[in-house]
Amino acid sequence: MKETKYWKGLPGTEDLISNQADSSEFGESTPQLDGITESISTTAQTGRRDFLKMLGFSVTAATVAASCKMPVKKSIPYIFKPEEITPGMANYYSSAYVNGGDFVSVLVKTREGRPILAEGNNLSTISQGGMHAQAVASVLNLYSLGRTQKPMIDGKASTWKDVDTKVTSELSSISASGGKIVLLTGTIISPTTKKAIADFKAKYPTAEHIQYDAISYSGLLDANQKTFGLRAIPNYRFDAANLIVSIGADFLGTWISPVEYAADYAKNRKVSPEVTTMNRHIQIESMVSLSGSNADKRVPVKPSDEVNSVINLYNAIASKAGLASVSASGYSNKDIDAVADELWNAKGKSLVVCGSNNTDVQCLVNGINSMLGNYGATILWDRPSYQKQGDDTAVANLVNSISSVKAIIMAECNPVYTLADGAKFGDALSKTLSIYLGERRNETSEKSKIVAATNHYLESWGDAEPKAGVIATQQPTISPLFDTRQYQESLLVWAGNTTPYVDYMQANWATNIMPTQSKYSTSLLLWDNTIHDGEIVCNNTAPTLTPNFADMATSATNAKNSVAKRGAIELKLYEKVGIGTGLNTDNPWLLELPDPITKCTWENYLVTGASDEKYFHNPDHKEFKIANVTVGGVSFKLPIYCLPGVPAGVFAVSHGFGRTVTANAEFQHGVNVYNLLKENTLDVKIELTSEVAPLGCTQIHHLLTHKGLGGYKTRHIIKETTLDEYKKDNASENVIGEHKRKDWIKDELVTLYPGHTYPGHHWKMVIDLNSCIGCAACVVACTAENNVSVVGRDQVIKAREMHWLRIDKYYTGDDNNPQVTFQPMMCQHCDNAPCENVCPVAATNHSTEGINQMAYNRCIGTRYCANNCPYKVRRFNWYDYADADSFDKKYYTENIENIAEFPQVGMNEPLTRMILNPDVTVRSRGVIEKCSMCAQRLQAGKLEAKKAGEPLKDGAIRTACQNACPTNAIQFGDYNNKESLVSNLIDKDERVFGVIEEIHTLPNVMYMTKVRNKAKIDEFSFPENLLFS
Amino acid sequence: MTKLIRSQFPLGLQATKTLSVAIFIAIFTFSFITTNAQGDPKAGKGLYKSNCASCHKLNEKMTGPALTGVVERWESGAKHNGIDGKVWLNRWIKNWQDPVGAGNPYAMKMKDYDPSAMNQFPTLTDAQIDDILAYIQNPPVDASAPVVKTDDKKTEEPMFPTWFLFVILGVLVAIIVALSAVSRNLQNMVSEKMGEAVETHVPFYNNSKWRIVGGLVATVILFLVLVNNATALGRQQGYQPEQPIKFSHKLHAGTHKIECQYCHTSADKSKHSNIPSISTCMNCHKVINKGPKYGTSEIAKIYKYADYNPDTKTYGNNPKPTEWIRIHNLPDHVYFNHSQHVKVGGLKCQSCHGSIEEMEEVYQYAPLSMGWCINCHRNTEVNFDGNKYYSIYQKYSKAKAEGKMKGVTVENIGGTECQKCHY
Repeated sequence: MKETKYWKGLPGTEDLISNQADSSEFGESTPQLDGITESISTTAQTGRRDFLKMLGFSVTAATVAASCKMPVKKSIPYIFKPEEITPGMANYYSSAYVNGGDFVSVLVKTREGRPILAEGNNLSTISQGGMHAQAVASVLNLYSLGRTQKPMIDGKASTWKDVDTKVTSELSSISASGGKIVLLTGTIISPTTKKAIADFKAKYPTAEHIQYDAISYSGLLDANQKTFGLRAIPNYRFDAANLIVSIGADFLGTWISPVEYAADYAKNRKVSPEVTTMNRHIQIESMVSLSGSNADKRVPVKPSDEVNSVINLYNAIASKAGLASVSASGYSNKDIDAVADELWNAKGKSLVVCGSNNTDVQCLVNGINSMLGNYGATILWDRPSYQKQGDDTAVANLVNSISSVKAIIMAECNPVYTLADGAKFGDALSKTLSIYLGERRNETSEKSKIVAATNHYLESWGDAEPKAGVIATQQPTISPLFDTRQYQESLLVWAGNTTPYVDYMQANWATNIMPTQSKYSTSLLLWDNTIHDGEIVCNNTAPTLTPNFADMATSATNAKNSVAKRGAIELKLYEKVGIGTGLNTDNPWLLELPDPITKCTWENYLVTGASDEKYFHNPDHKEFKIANVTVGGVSFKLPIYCLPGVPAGVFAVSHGFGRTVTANAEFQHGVNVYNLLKENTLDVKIELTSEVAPLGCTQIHHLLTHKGLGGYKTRHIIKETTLDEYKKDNASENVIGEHKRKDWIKDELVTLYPGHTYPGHHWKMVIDLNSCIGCAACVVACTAENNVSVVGRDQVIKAREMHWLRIDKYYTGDDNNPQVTFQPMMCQHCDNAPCENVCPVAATNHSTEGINQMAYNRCIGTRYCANNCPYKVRRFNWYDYADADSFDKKYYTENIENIAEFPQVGMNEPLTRMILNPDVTVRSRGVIEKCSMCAQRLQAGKLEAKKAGEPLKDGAIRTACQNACPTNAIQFGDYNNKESLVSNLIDKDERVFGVIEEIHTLPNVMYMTKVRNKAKIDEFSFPENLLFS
Repeated sequence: MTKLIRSQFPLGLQATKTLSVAIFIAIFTFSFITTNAQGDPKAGKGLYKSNCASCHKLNEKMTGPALTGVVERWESGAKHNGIDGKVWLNRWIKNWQDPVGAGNPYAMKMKDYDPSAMNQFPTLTDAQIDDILAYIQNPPVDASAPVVKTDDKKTEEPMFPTWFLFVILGVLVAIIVALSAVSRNLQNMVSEKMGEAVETHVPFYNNSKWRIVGGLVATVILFLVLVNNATALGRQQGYQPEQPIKFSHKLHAGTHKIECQYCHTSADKSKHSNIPSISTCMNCHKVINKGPKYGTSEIAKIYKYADYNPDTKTYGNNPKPTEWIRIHNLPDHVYFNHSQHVKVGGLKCQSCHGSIEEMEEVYQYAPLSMGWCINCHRNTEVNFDGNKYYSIYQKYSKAKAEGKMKGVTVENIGGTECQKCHY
């Protein structure tokens, strides 16, 4: 019998983990509040008299509390009700999340004028209805306690009038005396903002506009300048490529336009009985990325060898193409040679991308793509992307000549934090006229003389042109909460133009955008419709380019030299999917989001492979060894996390942490490693210290037991097959024990119990493991939609995270380069639910629509259900995370010795509570909660159909996770409707299975077998000693 | 209730009724005596309401002047070119520009009464105008107005108060106890005299059996009381707080029969049946500035909230929201949707809110307890035929057609499940 081994922790520690599986969350005994019950808990004896005393007190207290008057509640209507607002009904507005060049078109849900959720906009040709974690979480930034709430001069609150007078007069005198003015921003993709900046420069001729990307793409841009004469990013078509080779570019997670690329990538991976072709993806990388985790083949190499691999690939393909080779790298790896062969076979249908920020490396990659004939096929120049425009040279010059700058205006960036020379830059800000235009307090705002508080994007007008001619719009969904002004308007005011920005933008559209489109006849139609849709695709003439690949030899030599100085241990700096560059590291949703790769929360750490046992953390993921890292002149300490897949001799650490100025000290974990950008990270020293530290790592929280029952050796959690096998048999690998799943259902799935009947709807969800890339946008969307609490780092360490939806990450195959499978796991709404049987108060039970219901107010918190749930998806409220009941925070803070114990980071302030979805109950302490299948959406969807008097249409109800998914991996619908997508998939697609359905839970959430485009799946016989206890 | 009162006070009622009829007849006759116009005030009333009332009141200034005495004023002051003032008045009403064009000085004066010009009524005949004027001169007293006011909440006074019955009961029990003690004593004395053994009497309260039974009964009663009161915690049936404005649903919804959803516009659209904004009040109260019960005082509050000046008819910049006291409160973990019940279920507002059109001040009519919700969901049948949404419930439709099911209740389609209201 063939058994595939899946594991979650470190290699060789499965036995410990499997023992842990039952007890990770509830392993410890119920903690008792110090002080209150100390006398009782320490003696552990409750005498009869004590009991009677307590009983008497409780009854009296309850009586007294009960005789109190009910609080008087007020209903305060509008004075003049806005026409578009109906209390209790949501309004949706299109907008765009723009963070530097990061662009996602969104649909913003507002309730009574409050934005509460950002969902994907289906009308966008860029993000195609998908979201990423940061875009979903961006709504919470609006209600951040770290908002810059008013204009400030020298750290003191001021007025806009004073700020404008001061700035205008000082800038004028600087400009008149020829002093240098610098406008430093992130990448600006807004055409109207660019016009405003041009106006500003016209008023102050000595002003210079410098753009920079915290994580730079300058190398790629400069390489395109060199080889094509255009400093832009081409239009990568991941949907057109049959073979995708990425060298260190995490195009599914963080690289340039991840939502767009993920959507395109997944289109070509959806196999069905009709479509049996899919792309093949090879990732050559050092640190494991989201893309690498999804690759059909992953080649782990050291960071320096990523560069050598590019040279090797170039030479291998050049020799096949009969072109001149470049000087050899001196590195040999037969896997790379095999990749070259595959690439050559997929000529014109392949795509090579590279994450390097080295111009010469990117020139070679362009050369490879050119030799393969990919330009014009999978890489187009029809609509160049503007999403990265940063210029490293200009930034370096600025930092070097900062003392000669008389005035510096900074917008949409945090240079003090993200520049390699941030500290030096910060000191210089106090010696010049430094103006910070930002929405939240950060390191740069602290150092700036003037803070011109800006709006959040949901309070602003704006446009964005992520790709040439594709123009998206932003519109305010709420009046500014504070005394803020959007930065474009500030620039205009300082340029002497007092036109409101919306009028300015509208005028710009009428003159500059109107002529480039042919969809609308008048500029008013253009404006109204684009604001409604969120995007317009204008006509665009492709730039005429003259490719020049003459100087590849020099590029190769330079590239080789760039990695020449390498030591035994190399350090890779990488970007996390949820955290990105660190501008959002004060967003509790993102901080608590388990990183898709390491499943760690709240901080950064050193990541290394699983080959050297001396770095191993203990198997229960509670103690991580702390190492001292020395890179050039910089040294710091971080705990080590061992991640299977990272090659030996490689350590990685992520950007985005170690923030020092945020709303809350809880957000300031980890170390800022931007200063390492100027050091040689290819030669670092790692020394283990004797210290250990905990990490909020959820990888082995909520484990599904892998040991089989009733004659099965293992449980069937994941099912995967290869494309070749799938072509032969659509049901390949979809087995339960010895049986094909179909036969098993027919022959083995017998019961004496009558089961439920579903007279109306029968909700079911189908998740395609082949499309799911594990990006975790759904996790944040679920958090936002369902008022899921943020619990804080210390609680996550105790396995008390509240996420209703988690993404389980399983490894299989080689210990040091395992295949990864992501499995979104939420309540499976079992038709034969183990949790329902054990609830003593029937707080959880089954509905006639197949939903496993949870009545919070009936729950008494025994947690029997969580214990009995085989999927470990039930969450217990250990604290009153959102101040839902009458005990206030003061009670905890005064009574708990260890104050850090109590989470200070949740939605428990009047400002942050504005994010709460009013249709979902805020749970209080002591109750269990779990995925409700977005019950509020089911009810709302049915009600709309009833009101219209029409049968419910398939697809009319979409869950929050489904709406956020960039790859359409999640489908939801009514199984009783035989025309619905889910019933077609479940009845006809033989990839469908239920997780551990052999224990007869009859889940309503189904999964579809993962199909890998590779020769054979990794097999491993499971050690006998682990199978039966 | 009314019946009872009538039976109790038949004479009084009869007397008041007679009196009111007498008054009515007197006024009516009087009105005929004093009328000099030929018009019919009854017909005039309707015409007045439909044509004049939006700008004129009888005894008060509105957009136009108060109309009482208008005929007399025109007759005494508007005689011009030898034509009678009354004739000029008729011509003014038909088209006010006519007497102005003819240079009637009184009409010239009236033209500048208000910047807004009077409407023209060319379609009104002279006879109709006479009817209106007759009504203005002698507005008939509304004979249908209730003369006897009965208090809604007044209940029948019983012949004996309840406590009195208890006293009697207590006395009777005491007598029984005393008599039984006496009879026992007598019997004991007899037995003693007869030389028989006298039973030593243990009083029932010292009897252990009685104690156990009594204790059990007391515990059960206490427990029931506790549970009943505990489950009723937070329920506010009958809650009738004083509101910032003494808004009368009885007047608006009852007397004037204004549709509920004229003000509570979103009851059929949203989960909330919204409380109207002050601008909704102003739709009517811009014109109506006096109420029958409180005069101008309560309506003046509306103006204050809206920051509206009735004299200049302008809004200021300082309106403030009205802080109504919320009467119907559901716990936070309950989701209730008005549109589901009003639009889909077709329920009348009164089903849950009581006879709101009879409430001077609104109070919570229903207990709003979960049992109350569930009972209704158990008993209410869903209208399958009127709504195609329910076509998915084929099993039930079939059972209904075959007569196996009488009707499909809300409970049958899952209306009593936890997650229909709690999520």
